[in-house]
Amino acid sequence: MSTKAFDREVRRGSAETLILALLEDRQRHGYEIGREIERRSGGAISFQVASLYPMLYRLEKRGLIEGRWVEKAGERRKRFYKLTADGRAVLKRQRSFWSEFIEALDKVARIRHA
Amino acid sequence: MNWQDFVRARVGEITGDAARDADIVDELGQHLATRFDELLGQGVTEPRALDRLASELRDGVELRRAIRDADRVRPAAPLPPAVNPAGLVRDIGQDLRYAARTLRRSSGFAVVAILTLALGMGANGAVYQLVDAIRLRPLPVKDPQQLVVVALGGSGRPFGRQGTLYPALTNAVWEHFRQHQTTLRDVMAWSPGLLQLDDEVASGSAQGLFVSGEFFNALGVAPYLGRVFTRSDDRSGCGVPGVVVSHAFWQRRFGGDSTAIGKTIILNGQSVEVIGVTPPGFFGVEVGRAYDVAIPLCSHAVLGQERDWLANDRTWWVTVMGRRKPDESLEQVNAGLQAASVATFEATLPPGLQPADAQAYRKVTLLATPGAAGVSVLRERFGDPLLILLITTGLVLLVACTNLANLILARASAREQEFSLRLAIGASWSRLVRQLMVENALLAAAGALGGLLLGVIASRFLIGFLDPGLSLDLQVDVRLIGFMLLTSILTCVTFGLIPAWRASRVAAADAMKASTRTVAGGRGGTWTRRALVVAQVALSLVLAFGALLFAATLRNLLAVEMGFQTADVLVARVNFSRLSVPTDGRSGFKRDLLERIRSIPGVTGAAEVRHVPMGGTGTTLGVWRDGADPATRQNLRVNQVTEDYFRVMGTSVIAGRHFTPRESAASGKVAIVNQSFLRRMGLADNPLGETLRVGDLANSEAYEIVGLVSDTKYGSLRETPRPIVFLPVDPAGDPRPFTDFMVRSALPPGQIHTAVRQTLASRSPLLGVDVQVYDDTIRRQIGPERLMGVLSAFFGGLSLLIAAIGLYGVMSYLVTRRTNELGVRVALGASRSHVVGLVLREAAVLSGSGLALGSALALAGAGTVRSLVFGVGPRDVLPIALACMLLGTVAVLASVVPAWRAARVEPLTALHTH
Repeated sequence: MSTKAFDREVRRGSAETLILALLEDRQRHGYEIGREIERRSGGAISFQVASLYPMLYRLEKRGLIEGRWVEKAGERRKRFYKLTADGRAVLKRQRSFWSEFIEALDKVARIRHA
Repeated sequence: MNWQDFVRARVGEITGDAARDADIVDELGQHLATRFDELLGQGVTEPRALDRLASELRDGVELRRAIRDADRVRPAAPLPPAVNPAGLVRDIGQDLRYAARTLRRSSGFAVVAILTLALGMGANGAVYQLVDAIRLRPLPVKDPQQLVVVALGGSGRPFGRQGTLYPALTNAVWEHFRQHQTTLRDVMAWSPGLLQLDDEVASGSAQGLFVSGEFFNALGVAPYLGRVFTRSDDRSGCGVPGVVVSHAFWQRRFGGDSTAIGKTIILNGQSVEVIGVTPPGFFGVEVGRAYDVAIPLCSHAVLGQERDWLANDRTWWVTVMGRRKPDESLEQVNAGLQAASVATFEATLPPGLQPADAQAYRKVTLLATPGAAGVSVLRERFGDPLLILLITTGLVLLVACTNLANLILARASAREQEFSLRLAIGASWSRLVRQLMVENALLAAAGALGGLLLGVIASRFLIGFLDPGLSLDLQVDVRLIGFMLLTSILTCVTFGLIPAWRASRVAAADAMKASTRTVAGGRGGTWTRRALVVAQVALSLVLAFGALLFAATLRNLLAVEMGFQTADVLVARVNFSRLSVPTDGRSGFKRDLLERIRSIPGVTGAAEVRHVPMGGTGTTLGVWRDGADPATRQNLRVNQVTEDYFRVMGTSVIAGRHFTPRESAASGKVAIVNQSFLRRMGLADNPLGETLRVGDLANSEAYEIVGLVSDTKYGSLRETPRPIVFLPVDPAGDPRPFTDFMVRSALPPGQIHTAVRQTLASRSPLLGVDVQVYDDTIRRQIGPERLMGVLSAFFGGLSLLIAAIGLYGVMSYLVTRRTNELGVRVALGASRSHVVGLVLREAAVLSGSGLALGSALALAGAGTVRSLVFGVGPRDVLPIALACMLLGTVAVLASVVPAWRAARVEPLTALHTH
């Protein structure tokens, strides 16, 4: 696999992890997901509409999340997303991958600054 | 503000599906609306907020493409618990196509793998076919599992002669049993015998089967043509009421002509009418020897080689079988037989027995043993060797599998990054394992197919090894295919599971780390490969050890001192049953034949012999010193020979003389004994002049010892020397219508062979003549040892080769992996020899571990072959040491090239590979 493809996979993988993680405890709609990522990362990571929704559709298509329209009285219908069982399993694996990856980066960084 | 319009104006048509597009536009519009409110809440002015939203929406074209891409994503494979059967079939179909493409791309690997598997599985298939035919497969008759063989229990026959190779009763016991038994549902009896077939169409020998009247009906064999025998055909004094022929014989002799019924063939000079043909596939009840013609048991008085057997109550020659009642166990049958035995043996007590013999006879009981697979001499001789060979070929396949596992591991490690990434971004591990296993299954299936073909060919070759005259039904049936299927599944799991498991267990981060270093896989893979090589070396050592044991056995047997010279000797069997030579004319008749043989140019000597040494027959008689208490008599082996016998055989006469022609012709009362005889009888070194009595108490004759010869083998190469008493031939006391001549020639046996046959045949066209090279007779006797010696050597060599390839592969791989390290070492000043040492040390550790493990395995399993080896102990140090040396040498050779390559590592190149 080329480096470019690798970078792309990593970047996409990390974004997916963030989304799956946010849906772990409850269902949310798209806007809320974007906001929550920005809030939790202290503004370091932000998703805009152009990148957020294709990502959500992709995850939905892969069966990792499931979206459905919810209508409440006096409000416009909203599309809520929740984590599927497959999504939960993938999230678990991605967590361990990133934890190892970050640990590795950390180790390398410390060596460089020693 | 209509946010849907805002979106639609910028993105346009998205997916082509209006409803879907409406949903997307709706969702994006809501997002923008909320965001707009939020911006206003933060104090942003409306126009600026609109600008922000437009820029966040970016170029609509890009968004459209991103959504379309997302819509094209394939759903991830279902995770293990949520398996959808229809999806599974579809996925496996995809996997199969993918696997086929992958294998086609690496055709070199595929060819090597399939060839290895085909060879390994073919060897297994071939040996299995023989094991199945000889040991496992039930007779092709009705309800074979109900069949039992009824024989003597306890210590067997109390006295008398064994007239067949199989468990047998006397005809009197059979007749009584048949009439009075109630334990078994059907009973029948049979005895094999070679017959001379001679008429205008065919001549030669035919495998005869003397059968009781109920034989075919009891087995449930219906006639293919005509009829089979019934009880009424098998009555005392029946003459020859007809013959039932096998399907194969009918094809051969009558060309499958349905008008054969009613025609006659000539057997042992008698014209016999064909009354029936048995169905194809039925070969009798003897595995390995198919019958040609079946004749009623009562016809033995006319057609048998020794025609008095029907009336002889001391010759055990009739094999009795029966059919268990469906609801009865073997134990119940045996209880019934035991109860019936008393009456049977009381009623058939031969007259004139000594009290001790009579008592022993009354105590005999009948015992039933399972008979579903018929009876077989082959089973006795080749059963165990074939099982060991099956284990051997299984081990070879295992060695091949470990090699293949290593190959696949190498391929898999190159794909590790792909796997780890797919895992990290959502592929399920079961999907990856399945994909690999489908690839392996494809290999195994191709291997099995090749193996099936190879096996079918190789089993024919193996039969030639056992005995070219063997008739075994080797069919490609559901049993063989089942075996191959099982083998291929096991194979696939064996060589495929470890790599698949490794690949699935790859921690994603590990693989990423590896990607920054080499492409060759993680540390875990290296250890797995090392373990596989150790296993390979260990298994190969076991095989090499076995090969050495069996090769040594073969060599020892071939080098056995037999007490005679077998080279340049022929054995001529002459059958004169059709000449009706009167008993008192036989002596002169045989003399005449002997003189004719002696007159052939090149023949240096010829002698008649009652039992060709190691020809499979023998006589045991009571022998004691004249004047001594007859109770001291011992049952010793006796042979009858003419005057030239010891000269022809090259056996040295230590003291005394040969028989004279007069003694030979007139059955003189003289004897020649061997050295073991002296030891057994406690005679002095010079026994000449001593008198022996030979026979039983009621009927014995005195013989004066006139010669002493060296010890010779009598029945088998493995036996220790035993006492033998040689007497002159006794034409009057020999009822057989045939005899054997031993012929020594100064010319090679191949040249003299035809001359001997023609000379004998010229005496009369009715004379049956069969000439064999004596060495061939001996070689047939050690068939199992030859089989084991040659094939185990072949398989041992094969596994050595495979192990060498495996070790070479792994050492090369390790050297490649350590290129950086080795380069750095060289850069830091390590000498080339040091680097070579490093690599060789690694190889030594691997092969040393394998040798240690293999030695332990070999010694642990050695006990099982104790009965098959000769002149070498299964736990002797020498074979195992030799095997270790052999394998060690191979290991060093396999490591030399990688080590040499390592020594040539250039420091700079090595560092560049980073």
